[in-house]
Amino acid sequence: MTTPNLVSDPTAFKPTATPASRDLPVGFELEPIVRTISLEKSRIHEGWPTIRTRHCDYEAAHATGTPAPIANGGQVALVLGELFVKFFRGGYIGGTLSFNIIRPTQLDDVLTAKGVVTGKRPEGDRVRLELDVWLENQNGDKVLVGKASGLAD
Amino acid sequence: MQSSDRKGTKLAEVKKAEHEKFKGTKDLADATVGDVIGEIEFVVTEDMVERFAWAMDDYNPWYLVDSPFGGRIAAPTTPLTFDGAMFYDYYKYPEGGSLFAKQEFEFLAPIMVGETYRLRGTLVDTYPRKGRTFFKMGVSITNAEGTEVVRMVKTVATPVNPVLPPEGEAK
Repeated sequence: MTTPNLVSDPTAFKPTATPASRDLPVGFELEPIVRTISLEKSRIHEGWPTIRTRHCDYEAAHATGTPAPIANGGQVALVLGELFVKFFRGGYIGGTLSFNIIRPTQLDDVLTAKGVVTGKRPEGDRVRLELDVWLENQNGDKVLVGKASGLAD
Repeated sequence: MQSSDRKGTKLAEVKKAEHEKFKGTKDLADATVGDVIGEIEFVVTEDMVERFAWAMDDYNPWYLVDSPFGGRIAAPTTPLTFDGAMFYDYYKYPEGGSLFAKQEFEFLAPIMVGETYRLRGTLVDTYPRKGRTFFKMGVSITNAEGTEVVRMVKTVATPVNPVLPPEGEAK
């Protein structure tokens, strides 16, 4: 398995090449986003060391029966949120996003956010695109599965 | 004291410390659909937005510089930071731990950095499934003018590690 090149440069924001548009066909696959939540990243998110949770602290993880910290589902969901905003841009307003967490994410798992256009329908003078979205880990196992919609011109 | 006892005591202290983050007192066994779980005010600060950007390597300039909405905005899923805490500031954190199972969002307007928002939660459903009990909290977020900006439904489940009956036994 090769490790993808992960973004680590704050100036390196790259918009998605093909954002939402009324012309996109059903079946269109969104540009994936790849992220890894390391222990360091989890600690930044949680506010460690002031806050010690099972997501960023070994002793807290042991106390809840897990051998090591596991990623916070809220932090994991941010990857799906990133995919959603990058694709719909301003059309995320008026949009929806829902997901089920179906498998825990271990720290250092390589997460890939993916989406596919499953439907489109007119809404006023715009078009609502409907998506299936999900996050999968480096083994190809889905960890979050959901649906999204947003508005496109 | 034996080594395993010392370890157990220390882990119990850590567990207690983690749960002490929450102030909830109502037992989840007494949760009733319609419970008004709470109402909190929050401000998404520049510091929080920057912390999340670093935590996720998501350096969207809408969060860090400016957006078409008239200022910096927060990532749309940022309210996840607040609603779980609100749930367990009302209900007592369960001994068996808690899982974040599902989330639904409806985005009506952006959440602007530096503005004050009010988040209100109500228990909208509970149901058993595979040895766990699931709790659905409906959440409405309004801005200082009272305009709703985000609607959410959060589902949490407990316990983390359910004890299921052996196969073949009655559920």
